[in-house]
Amino acid sequence: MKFYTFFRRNLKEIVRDPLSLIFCIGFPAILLIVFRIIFSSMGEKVYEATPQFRIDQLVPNMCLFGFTFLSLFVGMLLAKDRTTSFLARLRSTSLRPADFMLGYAVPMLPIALFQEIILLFIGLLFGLNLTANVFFMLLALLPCSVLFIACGVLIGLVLSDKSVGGVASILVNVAVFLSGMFFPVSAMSGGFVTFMKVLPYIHISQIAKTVLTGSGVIEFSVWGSVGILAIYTLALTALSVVVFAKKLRKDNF
Amino acid sequence: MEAIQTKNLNKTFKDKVAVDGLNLTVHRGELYTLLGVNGAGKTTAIRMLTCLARPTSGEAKVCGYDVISEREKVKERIGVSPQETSVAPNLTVKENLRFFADLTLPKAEREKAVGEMIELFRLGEFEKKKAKLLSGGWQRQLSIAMALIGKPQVLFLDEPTLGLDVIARRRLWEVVQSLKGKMTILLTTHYMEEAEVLSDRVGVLARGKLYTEGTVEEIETRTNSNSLEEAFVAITKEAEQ
Ligand SMILES: Nc1ncnc2c1ncn2[C@@H]1O[C@H](COP(=O)(O)OP(=O)(O)OP(=O)(O)O)[C@@H](O)[C@H]1O
Ligand SMILES: [Mg+2]
Repeated sequence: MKFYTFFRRNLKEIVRDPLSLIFCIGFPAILLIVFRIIFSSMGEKVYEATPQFRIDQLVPNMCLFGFTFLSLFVGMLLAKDRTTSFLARLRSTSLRPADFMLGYAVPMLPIALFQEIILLFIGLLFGLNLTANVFFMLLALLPCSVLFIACGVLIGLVLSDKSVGGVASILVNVAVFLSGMFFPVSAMSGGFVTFMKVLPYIHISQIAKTVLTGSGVIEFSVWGSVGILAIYTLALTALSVVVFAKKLRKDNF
Repeated sequence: MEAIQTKNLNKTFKDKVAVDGLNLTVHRGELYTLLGVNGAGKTTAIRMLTCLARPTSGEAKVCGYDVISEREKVKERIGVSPQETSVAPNLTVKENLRFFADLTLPKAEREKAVGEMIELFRLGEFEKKKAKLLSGGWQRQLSIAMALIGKPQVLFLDEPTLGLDVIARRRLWEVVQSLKGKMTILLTTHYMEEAEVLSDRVGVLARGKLYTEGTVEEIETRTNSNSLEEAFVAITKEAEQ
C-alpha cells in the first residue's frame, strides 16, 4: 500500500508537468502527423523507397520515439527529489527499498500506454487499418518501454537534476538514429546495420513491425530480437536496482 | 527509556570530523535545542538519529531502538523536518499532507489529520494550490506540517523557523509549545530567543562536540552571562581555542 501511495505521487508529479505532456505525447504525435502529411504528398516512388514512413511503421516508431522521453522524465523526477532532499525525507519514513524503486518506475507504464493509445488513434485517422494485430503491437511495445524506464532511473540516480536533461537528450538522439526510425534499414547493409543490430533499438522496430505485418524491418529472426531486447532490459533493470539499493544505504543520496 | 540516547557517537567525512563523541540524552516529552555555529554538526547529528547517515562509530537509540539495527522501528516513530524546505512541488498543499498521512497513519485517521494540520498551520487559504506556487515561508510551514502529521513520538526540527517572517515565526512557536509534553522534540536554531522561549534544555555543539548542556538559566550561570547569547558566544569562543 505504501508503494501505491508513492506511485500516485510520482504519477501526479509527472503528469502535472506540462513539459512532460508536450514531450512524451505532443512531440511524437506532431511528428507523426507532419511525416504523414509530407510523405503522402510525395509520389509513389519516394513512398516505396521509404517504408519507414509508411503509417504501419511510423506509428510504432513514434511510440519508440515517445518512450525515449520516459527516460528523461523519470530521471528528472528522481534527480530533483534527490537534490531537494525530498528523497532523504522519504528515507526516514517506513517506505522500503522496493517501494522506492517501483514507485518511480511503474508510473511510467501507464504514461507509455497512454502515449501508444494517442499515437494509435492518430495513426487510425491517417489510414492505419484497425486489425487485431494493431492491439497485439501495442501490447508487444509496452514491455519495450521498460528499457527506457530503467535507463531513466539509472540516469536519475547518478546525475544531478541539471545534467539529466542533457544526457537524456543524447540518449534520445542515439535511439532515434540507431533504431532506423528515419532511414530505410531494409535497403541498407554493412557494418552500420550490424552495429544497429548489436544495440537494442532496432529490435523494437523489428518486433513491432513483425507483430503488425508478419515481416520485420531487417533480416533477423523476431525471436532473436526479443532475446536481445530482453537481455538489455534485464541487464539495465538489474543494474538500476543494484545502484538504487546501494544509494539507499549511502549517506548522501 | 529515554527518547534519544547516544553513546560516543561519531561521524567522520573523509578527514573531517563532523560529530565527535556525542553523548546526548533527551528525555520523553522534553524539548531539547541544539545550538551551534554553522558547521558545528547539528544536521549531521540529526541525520544519524533519523537513519539518514550511518554513524562512523558509537551508538544511537531513538525510543529505545538502535538507529542501525532497528531502523525500521525508529522510522515508524519519528517525524523529520529537514533543514531544507522539502515538499512535492506539483502536489497541492492538501495532497502533500495527505501523502505523508498515507505513509505514516492508519487509514481511519488520515483525513482528520490533514484537516488538523491545515488548521494548525493556517494553510486553509492555499489548500488547493500546488506547493511550488506558495511563497518560501509558506512552503516551509507546509514542510514542517508534513513532519508533524504522522503524530511522531520524536520530532526533529532542523532550523524550523529559517526563512519565516516574525509573525509566522511566533505562530510556529505557539504550535511547538502546544506540542510540548505530547511528543519529544529535538530542535536546532540560530535564534537564541527561540531557544529561550521553547526549550526545556539546551545543548551547545561546537566542532562536533557537546560542550555544555542544561536549562537556559543553568548555562547562563555556569558561564557567568546575562543572556543565552552571551553564554553561547563565550562557550563557542572557548571551544574554538
Ligand atoms: N556529506 C558530507 N560530506 C562531507 N562533509 C560533510 C557532509 N555533511 C556535512 N559535512 C561537514 O560536517 C560538518 C558539520 O556539518 P552540519 O551540516 O552537521 O553542520 P550544522 O551544524 O548543521 O551547520 P548549519 O548551522 O550551517 O546547518 C561541516 O563541516 C560540513 O562541512
Ligand atoms: Mg544544519
